[in-house]
Amino acid sequence: MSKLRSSSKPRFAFAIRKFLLSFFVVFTFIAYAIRNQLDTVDANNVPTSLPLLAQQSDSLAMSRSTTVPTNRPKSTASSILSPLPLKSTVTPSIPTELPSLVPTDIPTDLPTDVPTEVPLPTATPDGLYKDGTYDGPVVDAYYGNVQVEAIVQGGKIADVKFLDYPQDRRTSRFINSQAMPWLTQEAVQVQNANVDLISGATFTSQAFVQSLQSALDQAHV
Amino acid sequence: MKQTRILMGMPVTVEVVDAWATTSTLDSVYDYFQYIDDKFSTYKANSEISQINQGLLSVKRSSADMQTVFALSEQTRRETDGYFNIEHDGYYDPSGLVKGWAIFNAAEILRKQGFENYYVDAGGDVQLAGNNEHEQAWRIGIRNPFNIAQIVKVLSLTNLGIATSGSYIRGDHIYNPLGNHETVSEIVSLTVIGSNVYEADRFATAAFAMGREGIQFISQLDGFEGYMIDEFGLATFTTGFDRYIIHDKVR
Repeated sequence: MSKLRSSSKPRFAFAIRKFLLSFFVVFTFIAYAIRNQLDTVDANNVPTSLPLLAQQSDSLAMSRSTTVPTNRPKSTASSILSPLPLKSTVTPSIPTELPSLVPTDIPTDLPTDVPTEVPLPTATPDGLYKDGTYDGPVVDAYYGNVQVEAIVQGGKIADVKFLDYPQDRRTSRFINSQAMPWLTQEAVQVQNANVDLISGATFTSQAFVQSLQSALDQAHV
Repeated sequence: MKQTRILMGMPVTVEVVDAWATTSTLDSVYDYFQYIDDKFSTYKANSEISQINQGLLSVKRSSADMQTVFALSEQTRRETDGYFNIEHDGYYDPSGLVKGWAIFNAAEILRKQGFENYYVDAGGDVQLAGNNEHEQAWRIGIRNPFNIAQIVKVLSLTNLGIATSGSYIRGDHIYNPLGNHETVSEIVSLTVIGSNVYEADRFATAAFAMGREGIQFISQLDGFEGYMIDEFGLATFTTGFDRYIIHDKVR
């Protein structure tokens, strides 16, 4: 800037400054917009692995034998099977879903015509994420810092890398060796290959719905 | 020899590759599932579990199998910090545990008869042994939760159990009643591989109830690997899971 000020062409320098100022305003706006989008839309995606790590590690730090996060509302298997909250959402889908599911679930019924992309739920429109590499903020995870980097390709999260995780202090390393989730992430892709059988939950889900129905029947005596 | 029958409200497929398997071999397995269904079905008014739920029979005086299931359920409840619980409002529904337990026991029937290459698959939860008819490890697909006609992963497994928990039907959201309509539909599929299907199934069920934290729970269990798919189609899997993945796309 000092160079510009000493320039023999003050009008040029003024133009440059004006341009820089405009650029700064626009850049700030874009950065804010992107951050906003990531914060809201992405709330259920990549960043959650951070609080997740923190929670997990906290609980481990407090009690190493506890493997389940403690700050989450307790739910039980019976809560899965609990009829009441499901009543409104599940019941309507039963008549339409069951018949179409039955034939496709015989293990011999293997995929033949497969697109390359997994259809996403309609709640997630395409282009949710812009392609690029995004570094998350450094988050204090109680026992140290955690920072991740998300790589987006084709509008989907292609990879999530740890840029930083606690490894400095001896205690951290000990906790870390237990608590760091050695997890990998990827966008699911439809496979076009022959298999002997398929593992899936469709029928568990249906059995669940049926169980729910009879539970409701009993509950409304 | 391979057959599929509908039992306990789901397709039960048994395949035995060993050449000396006969129809009665498969019958012995299906008979066992029928026995389990008669005893543990909460839909059947005369089943033993229904008798218990109606207060006509105490657990103490129930059959050995029933007491075993109750003991295993209690053990699992403790191991999962309460996420797995067969009791709800005074009623017992152990079907979440019985399924994997029954598949494992059914596979044991085959093993004790001397068979070495087979699998028992009940509703997508499987106990595997030996190889397939091509003398290779069994190839198992993981179903695409967004399109049940597709698979999203191909695995090579032998002498292991695999189980998948999830809700594939859109709208089939699972709510946590304790969490004031908090949904656990943030994940749609959780596959667990373990030494046997009983272990894989009970931990898959409990971990699914934990939502996103479920995969971390699995990653901290010795001898278990998991593959979780969230509502956005993003998969998270344990490092050890990778060794089961077949990366080539064409056989």
